[in-house]
Amino acid sequence: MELADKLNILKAASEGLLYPSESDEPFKVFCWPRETGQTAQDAVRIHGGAGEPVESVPVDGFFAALTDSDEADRFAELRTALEQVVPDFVDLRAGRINVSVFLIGTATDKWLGLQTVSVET
Amino acid sequence: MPTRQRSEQRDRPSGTSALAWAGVIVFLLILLAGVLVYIFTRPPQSTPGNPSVSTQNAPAPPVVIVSPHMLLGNPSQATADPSNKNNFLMVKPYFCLGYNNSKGTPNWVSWRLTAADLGTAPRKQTFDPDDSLPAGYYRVEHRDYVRCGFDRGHMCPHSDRGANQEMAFATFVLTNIIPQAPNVNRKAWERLEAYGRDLALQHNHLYIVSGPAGQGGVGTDGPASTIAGGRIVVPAECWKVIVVVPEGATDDLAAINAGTRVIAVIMPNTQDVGEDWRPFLTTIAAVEQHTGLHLLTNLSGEMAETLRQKLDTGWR
Repeated sequence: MELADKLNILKAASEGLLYPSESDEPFKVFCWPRETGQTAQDAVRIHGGAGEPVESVPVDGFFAALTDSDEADRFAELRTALEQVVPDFVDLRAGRINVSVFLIGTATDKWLGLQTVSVET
Repeated sequence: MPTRQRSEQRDRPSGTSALAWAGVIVFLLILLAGVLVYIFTRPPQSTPGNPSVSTQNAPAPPVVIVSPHMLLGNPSQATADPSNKNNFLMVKPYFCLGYNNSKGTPNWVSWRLTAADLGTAPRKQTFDPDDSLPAGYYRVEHRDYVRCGFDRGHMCPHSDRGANQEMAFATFVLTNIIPQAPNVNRKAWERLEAYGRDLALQHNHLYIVSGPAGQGGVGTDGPASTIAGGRIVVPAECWKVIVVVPEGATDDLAAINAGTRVIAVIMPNTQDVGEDWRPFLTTIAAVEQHTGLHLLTNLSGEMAETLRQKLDTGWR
């Protein structure tokens, strides 16, 4: 699958979808260059503007918290899309109050995924 | 009919036994009178769950503590009568509130905060309708706040109930939520919440009451007086009162005195609010005047009046 196709799949799966918390925030598709030896934590710090610390949380927990959402079906589709495009994706979080959330995986020489915000006061 | 004859003979009192019965009845009446005199003349009793408050001039009626989360009182004399739709009392395990069905928000939320309440329990991403509201009430839903320009602003915050997941998740019920301007929720209001938790960790028990006031705020999409098609009123201000009682008292209500620290704030529900909560410090009297609530009804009149007039300087 071409990179453009992967981006289109993520874009279609997240279009108009809002991540719920104290606010409701859109998802943004990202595609960043991937250097040799670079970790996903490095990538979100360098390209995603994430400060320290960057915390890795279970992907299952991300989706389990959305099963009672009005958009539960779309979040299930989003998971399918991510597993198709970036099967090794992880959930990274950084910051407090306006918490940056990254669903990030690898696609050959790129970091690919979705970025959003969870408002947590 | 021998049996009936025997029965009639047994039922017919003789002169001697009638005298004995009369004596017993007189004795019982005297005993009953004594018990009644004792009940109506004894002094009011104080128990840990139902302490009484005394004043200098006259004995006050016993204070009824509905919940440890309502130690200071019932600010609106809310009742659990379902017909009282705009002043409906909800006594919950981890906080209490007076609900306003017409506004879709609480009038006030009241809770105790101690170090034992704190922890790192997880959050919920979605907020829950309150299934304990009576039939005929509108149950606010998570979607009612989507794309409204205001945050789902906790009154009793998640982080004040982090000791376990049940407590933490309980704060995500929408009867505990008001539409808060993001810069209030994420800045000064949050800083004051965190400051309160610091005080709890410094060996204090906090008695907190907070709520909305007025109508018409400014969110990320500009001014609004309601959201959710008019079902939820956007407040013009958010207020909070904190009474700080040092740990160690056997009765926190009795430990409150004229020297007790009180913190009161009224913040505009707009995007002009910054990180610092101290510019919004005011008195409990001002909060009461602004909201029409009575926040210290379980305290004696003179001392409560002193606390009402205090302007906090404890942060200096």
